[in-house]
Amino acid sequence: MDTCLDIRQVVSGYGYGTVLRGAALRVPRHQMTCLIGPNGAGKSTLLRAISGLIAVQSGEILLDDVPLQGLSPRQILEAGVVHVPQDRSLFPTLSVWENLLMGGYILRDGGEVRRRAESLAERFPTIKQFRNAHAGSLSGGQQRIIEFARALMLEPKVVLADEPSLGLDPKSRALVFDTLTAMTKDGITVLLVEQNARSALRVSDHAAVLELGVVRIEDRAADLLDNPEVGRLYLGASAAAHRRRPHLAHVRT
Amino acid sequence: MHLLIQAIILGVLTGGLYALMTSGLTLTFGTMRIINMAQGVFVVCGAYIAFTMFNYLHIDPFLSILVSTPLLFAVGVTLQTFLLKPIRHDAHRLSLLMTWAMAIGLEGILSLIFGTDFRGITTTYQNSSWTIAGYQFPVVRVLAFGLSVLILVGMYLLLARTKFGRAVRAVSQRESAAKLLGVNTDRTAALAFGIGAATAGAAGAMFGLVSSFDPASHYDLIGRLLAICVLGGLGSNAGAITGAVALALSESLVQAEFSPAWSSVPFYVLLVIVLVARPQGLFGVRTRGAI
Repeated sequence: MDTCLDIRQVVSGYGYGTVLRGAALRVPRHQMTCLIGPNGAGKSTLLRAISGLIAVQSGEILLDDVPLQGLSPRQILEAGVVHVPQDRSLFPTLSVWENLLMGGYILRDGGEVRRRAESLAERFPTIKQFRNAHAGSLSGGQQRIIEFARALMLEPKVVLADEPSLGLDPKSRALVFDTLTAMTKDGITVLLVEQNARSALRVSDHAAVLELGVVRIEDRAADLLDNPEVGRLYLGASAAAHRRRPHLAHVRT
Repeated sequence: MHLLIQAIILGVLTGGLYALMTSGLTLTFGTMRIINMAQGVFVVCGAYIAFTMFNYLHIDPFLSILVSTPLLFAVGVTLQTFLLKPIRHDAHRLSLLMTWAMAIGLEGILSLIFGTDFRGITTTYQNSSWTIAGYQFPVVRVLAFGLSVLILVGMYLLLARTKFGRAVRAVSQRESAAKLLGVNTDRTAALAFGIGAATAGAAGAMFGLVSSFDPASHYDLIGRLLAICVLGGLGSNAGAITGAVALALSESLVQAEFSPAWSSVPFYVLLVIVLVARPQGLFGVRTRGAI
């Protein structure tokens, strides 16, 4: 397996508490890797540790064998890792176009930033359509698309996507997953964190289960989806589980 | 009629200067959600710098802007770095107290250096004015107006058209997102506060020319500036300019037509009416997620 991002025994957290307690994961190149697990397992924390928003206390994070831990968020951005956070991250009173330009903030060449933004506008009709609108006036799904377009401004190697489908209607959710899939086809490595584990696993190539700050299982996404134990423990009530707990199935209907 | 038009001319000219003072307040609120209670004292500092340079070095107050602006910029950056940055986790509430403390502290320092007597800057062209079609255009006020407009346009272009301006607006709205895009948010916030203080430095030199002042003048000033901001809509540049002209115009009209004692009343009546009818101010916007 050609590993792009190699996460080795990472310990990290907030203040005095540790959330990640030796998490290890190999993210294969040009593929979509999905990280699932219960709430509080440390999924978002792992993304924050990779992008340098929180410090790595011990362990290593290697991008093509170059260590990222200890670098500033900006240096990690320059290395080619872009983080699209869980909460909405567009600047609401900046126009869609200005938001896109902000994606290229660390580039010195303003002309190049504009060229890249123009070519993204060709690829994403949403940008063209709402170019001068306040980003805050777009729907949740449209905002997500703009966020991904903005992440592509730096032509990154790796995109970290934290719960991109959160709060979206099924149609927008499908569009978001399509966009992510298209990114991997363009040679970008995607590390995806999702609550919506089933749909995420269906579009992912590789997957891992994080629990209590440690990666429990790492496998091909399709295999993980078929794994009955994973289904029972981490994918919520499966069809089998429903049969075993008829009272719950009854409540659902 | 003649008196009325003359009053309007004076009102608009003074309004330009108030607009400049207020623009700094608008900038720091618009970008950092900080209501800078020290903006008034920054203006008074600018006035004292112009006063000192004029009396001791015989440098024209308009030229002293070249000194007061960068000096107040430095003061702003320093104060932001040492006093506002540490409290930014709760900046919305604590900054009100902190900037008020800055105001009182700076007032004390000014009193120590310059005493508490009223000062004024008396230039040779103090009382000269141009007469056009029978109306008086005081030289000092025309120059102050012109310069204020120039600086305001410059500030607008800086914020609306440059990469720095975009970053300032971005940091104000979603600091963590801006950080993820590689923006040095600490530096951007410090520079924005510095620029707000710098406009006060420029306005202060001109304020010293048009009125007398003492270290405590900032109480009156900050009251007016806040009223202007609130009338126009906090954070809005168009609002700051409209509010400034409304204040200066109404004061100048009442002064001319009735009595100086009542000059401030109509503006504050207007302020109350606007706040009842449109609490976000004349130009205030409520965009989803902006505040």
